[in-house]
Amino acid sequence: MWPKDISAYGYWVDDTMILVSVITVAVAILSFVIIVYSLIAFRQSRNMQATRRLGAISKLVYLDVVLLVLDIVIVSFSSIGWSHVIQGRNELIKEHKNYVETRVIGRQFFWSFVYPGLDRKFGTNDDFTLGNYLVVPVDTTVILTLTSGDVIHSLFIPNLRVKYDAVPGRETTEWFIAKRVGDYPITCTQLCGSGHFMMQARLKVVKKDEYERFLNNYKVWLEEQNSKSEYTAYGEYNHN
Amino acid sequence: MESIITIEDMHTEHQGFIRRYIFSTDHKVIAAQYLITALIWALVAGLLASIFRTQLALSQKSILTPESYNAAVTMHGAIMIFWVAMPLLIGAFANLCIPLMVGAKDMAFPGLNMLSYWVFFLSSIILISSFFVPSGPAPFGWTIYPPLSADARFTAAKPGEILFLFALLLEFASMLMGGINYITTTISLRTRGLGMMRLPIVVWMQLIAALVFLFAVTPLVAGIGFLLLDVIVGTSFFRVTAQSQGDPLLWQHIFWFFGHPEVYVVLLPGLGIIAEVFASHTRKPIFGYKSIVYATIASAVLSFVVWGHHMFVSGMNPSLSYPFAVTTIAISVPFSVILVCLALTLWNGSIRFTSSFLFALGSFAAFIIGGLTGLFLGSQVLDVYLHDTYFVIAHFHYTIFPSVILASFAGIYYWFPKLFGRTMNEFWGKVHFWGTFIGFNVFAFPLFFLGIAGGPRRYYDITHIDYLRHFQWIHILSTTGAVLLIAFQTPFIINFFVSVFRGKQAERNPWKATTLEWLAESPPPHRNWNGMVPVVVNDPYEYSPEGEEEEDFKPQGILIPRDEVLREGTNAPTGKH
Repeated sequence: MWPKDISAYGYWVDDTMILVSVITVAVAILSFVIIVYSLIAFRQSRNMQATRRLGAISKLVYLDVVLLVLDIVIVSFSSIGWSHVIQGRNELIKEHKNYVETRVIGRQFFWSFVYPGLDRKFGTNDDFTLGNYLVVPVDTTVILTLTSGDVIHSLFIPNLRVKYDAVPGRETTEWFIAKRVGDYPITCTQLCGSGHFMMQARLKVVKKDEYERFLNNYKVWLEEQNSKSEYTAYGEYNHN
Repeated sequence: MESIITIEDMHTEHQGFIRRYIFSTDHKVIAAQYLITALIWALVAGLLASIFRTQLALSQKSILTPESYNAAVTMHGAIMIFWVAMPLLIGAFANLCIPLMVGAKDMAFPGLNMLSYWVFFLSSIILISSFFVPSGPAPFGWTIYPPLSADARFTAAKPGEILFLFALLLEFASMLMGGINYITTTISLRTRGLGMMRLPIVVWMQLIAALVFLFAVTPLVAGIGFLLLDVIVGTSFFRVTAQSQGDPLLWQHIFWFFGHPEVYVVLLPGLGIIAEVFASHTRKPIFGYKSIVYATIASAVLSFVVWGHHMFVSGMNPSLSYPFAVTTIAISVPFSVILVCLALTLWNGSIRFTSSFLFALGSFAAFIIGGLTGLFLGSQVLDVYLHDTYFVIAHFHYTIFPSVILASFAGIYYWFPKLFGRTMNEFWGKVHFWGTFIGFNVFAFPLFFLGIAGGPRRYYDITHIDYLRHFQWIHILSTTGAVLLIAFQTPFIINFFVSVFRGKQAERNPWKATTLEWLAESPPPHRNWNGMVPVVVNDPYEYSPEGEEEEDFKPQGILIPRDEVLREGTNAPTGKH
């Protein structure tokens, strides 16, 4: 049910999920045990006369303190994970480390992925655009710069634990390191019109040398892919 | 002296049918009008839900187009929040409870109260009319995110949207008129002896809800004005075009600054109803009255600084997620205080399992799940994954359905004798409860798992998507629950209307409850107290007092003839206007 994590920092999401699940399930079970016991023990036919005194059970008010502590645990854990994600992003952008950048443009109802080509620079002649097909190298930092050509979309890659809105008129950035070669789903999660549910794309994580080959001649590479895979019809899309 | 007052009190008794039951200024009639209008809307929105849920279960065999699916989802959400939850909890129950429970003869501004209902009615007509314009009702989701909603290039439903936005503005105006009445009446028309710390919990909750709404709605009214300008005139507040640069995120800030407090506006009065029913059905005072009041105030204040948790992945500066995650998780603390107090109210009680109590209990239990799953979404790291998936849908339904629908049913079964002078059938009430409660859980609980699997919300179909194809069974199960839930409203509808005309005659105080409304006749006459004045002598929940008593409760007040109160020469508020 929970999609396989292939991201370098995805464990923060998964560990928080486990932490919060354990806490909430434990609190829920405790609450329901107390409530169900009260209902059985204090129904009118067994307990004709209510008494105001609570006795030891009134210590249950300290549950609020326990919950407060658990809240602090959750929010601290979550914030450490978050700082890991966004500081990593800020440092990457500032320090121009070794990363691969792809521009993402959301449109009703498809994704365009703009690749810089072998020179790794945008705005040059070897840039090319693929529709609904994101190719990234494995074990490499990838930066996605998102924007939108019409309404708000949201790029969601479940296996990478990545989701970010593509907003018209502004650029948003998202980063990840994919740890496992393979073929993964990409989907749009922000209602963008009647074709919202059709706005699907594929993520292809490939070995580093294959990525070079892809940048070098993506047409040949795509033909190879199309002959191997059941997914076809990805191809060049001229967005201008 | 007395005769003069009696004539004044009886004045409208001699008015015709239209002034008494249609354009009435009597708060009880207005409460009934709100109640019935809201229940009709709930039926409409529920049927919309069963239609689009059937679509989701059938997937390929389509009964809706993607566009009409989006419109159905949008209208379901918008109607349930603005035309069901608000008029039920802020319209019907506040109107019924506040004047009776504070011992007033009517609202502070009865004419404004009447206007409030009829403006609401007008907004209902406008919203209905949007279903019949050529391009159909608004299809943008109830959150109306621009630029999808702001730009005719991206969507066809322009007339439907304009009607929807105008209807929304009128609905806000109507609820503000109501809110002014609730605040004024609670503050200044309390009867003698009724200090603020002796108010029933439900009145506290309604007062706080009215105040929260008052503060939260103002920016959104401006926001809707901007949006209407974008749609009609073509300005660029939220639109991005080649020539002009609006900001789509501005709308999200405005909307959620309103949106999150709004959730509490409909949630708090629901919790208040649960508290009233718990106290009278366990025969115990509410545990921790003051804690509940202070916790409610704390949560109301906090609700204004949590809106960013709807925007963790929106493109807002990600560093803002820290404070919003902290406030969001922190707001669970006052709610845990309220819930623990309510749970402890059950302990050592003598519990009467009436339909009303079952609904209150079901609401309480479901709300615990809703509250706890909020912790998943408040955590910014997890929210990135769960945002805009079915997990949010499930969480939202587990908070709003109990506090609006289940709590309102508890309130309807509880106050029905007071409002209509007759009692509802208990057997069919219980059938209604079990069908509703089981149907709801079968509908909502599986959706958590669809969200965990990464299933995005507002998807017309998931069977064409590889990683979601295997989870179609969740939609089928969930739809089964939703249809069950809708079907089990039939016993309620029949029970309601049969009981209004044929139900067993109700006594003054069928539940042996303490609060002031049970001192009045069932139903209370116009101006409520028949020339008497309720004077408060006790705290609101004096159940099972210590020592030997004839009854196991002490009513909060006693009725004293008006002239006796006047003779004592006090200026304390006596409920006169």
